Amino acid sequence: MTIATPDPGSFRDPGARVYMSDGAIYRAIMKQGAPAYLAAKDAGLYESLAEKGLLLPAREVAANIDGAAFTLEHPAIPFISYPYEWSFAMHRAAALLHLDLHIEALKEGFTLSDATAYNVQFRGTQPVFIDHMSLRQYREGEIWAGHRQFCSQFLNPLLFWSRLRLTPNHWFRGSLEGIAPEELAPLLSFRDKLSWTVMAHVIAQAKLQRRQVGKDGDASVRLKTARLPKQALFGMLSGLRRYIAAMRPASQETVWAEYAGATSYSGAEKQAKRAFVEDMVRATKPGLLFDLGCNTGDYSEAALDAGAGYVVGFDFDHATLDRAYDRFNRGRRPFLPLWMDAANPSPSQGWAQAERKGFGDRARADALVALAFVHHIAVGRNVPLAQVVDWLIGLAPAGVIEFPSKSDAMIQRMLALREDIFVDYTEAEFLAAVKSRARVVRSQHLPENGRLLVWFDRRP
Amino acid sequence: MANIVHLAALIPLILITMIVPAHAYLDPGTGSIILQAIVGGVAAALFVGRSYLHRVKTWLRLGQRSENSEPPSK
Repeated sequence: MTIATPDPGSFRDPGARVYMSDGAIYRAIMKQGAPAYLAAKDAGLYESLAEKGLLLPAREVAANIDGAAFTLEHPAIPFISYPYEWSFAMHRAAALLHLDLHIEALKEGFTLSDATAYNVQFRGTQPVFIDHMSLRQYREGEIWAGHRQFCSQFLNPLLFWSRLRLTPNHWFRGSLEGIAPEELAPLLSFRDKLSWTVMAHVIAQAKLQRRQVGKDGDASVRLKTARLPKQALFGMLSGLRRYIAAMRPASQETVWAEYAGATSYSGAEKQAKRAFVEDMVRATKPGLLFDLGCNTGDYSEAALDAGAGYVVGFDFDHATLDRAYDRFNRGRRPFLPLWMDAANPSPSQGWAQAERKGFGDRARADALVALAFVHHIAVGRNVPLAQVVDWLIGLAPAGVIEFPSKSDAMIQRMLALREDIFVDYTEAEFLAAVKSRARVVRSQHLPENGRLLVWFDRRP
Repeated sequence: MANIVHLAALIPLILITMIVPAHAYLDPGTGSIILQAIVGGVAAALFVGRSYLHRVKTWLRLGQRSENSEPPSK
């Protein structure tokens, strides 16, 4: 077997590289990384962590990769996501997974060489650790090498939610290494600091980071010989685990309060939309479906019920994403909720602008659902209607798009305080735009508010 | 018990944070390494303390079945 395409985001560890071939994922263990790999493999670590659902399964395969001592094959992750696309609930689940994996590994005499959040991926709502070569043998008394990274990429973003009442996603997307303790510390109030976790991991670490200890040559030697007993490492990991498990976003109460009444399927309109989506999904049989503007996931659920293999839901509103996460997590259904501003989706960025892939470069959807979506971009963000339709139809070969006309109550509210400059925003223009790019399989006006549903298909 | 240990441990931490920062920039991990050297003892004490507390609780609940036999870290 010859495997050609190295993943451009896999370059930091010279001991291993990730390759992709025909939808499968391979990890080449280089000669340099072979001893660490064999130690973990012989100890049965990979298997035991995979059985607990903490680590992505792996099997050794024969492959022809230059310089590789071993090659592992992994099950593919349907859609790669990045921490700056996660809601609070997902970020917390990822942090707890990371700590659980570290604690379990430590019990078996292994530790993690880093703590990057990009090594956690989601299969549906379930986080899983994907980097086998971050696991290495624990040396008695060694410090926790990934501590600062854990704080920057897990603890500090979560403190944004719970203490500052802010979403960390914009900051994290601009600063791919996360939010450093020195950056978070000045933002915290005196009251926020009255916590052991905040005081130690944020405030004290930030101060110590800035302190000059390199004045004499002994300093770096002293740092190199710093020790952390194993019990203390267990204590730090379990202390952080307890603290993070109890974290809540500052606005969580209202979110849960609204939840109960928000999920029922009442009304002819919702029923009609649901049936329309189900018909498209049954005919298209998508393996991967995008739900743009997924809200709490009503139509993602309809798509899954009708046989969609995996649904990625995107929304701009974090509160609805957390509700969707909770809803599908209860049923362990293959649904991944991600935060996205459709007028400014995640870009390709990082090293060589290829390390973290942009929204459009990650996976091709087989179908899409865009309900109550078009007007937010066309009217809310001034994107010409034809361009919105063009972008949507470019994302998937088939799907359902909803079009509310200008008399719609929501659009009237959007236009209440501004001039109506949208002369081209009409049902006729919308249909013309769709028809110039795809076939209209079926269209239907909704019973109550008259919104138009269009099922498009651009396959020959 | 955990609260008293935390409170006692906060005092040296507060003292550290009162040290005037110098402007030299150091390795990314420096702050983390010194912090671990300082708070490691507290973390270990708490961890061991909680383990004992858990054992006492388990002993007191002899008749009942313990849900898990792991240390209280979970």
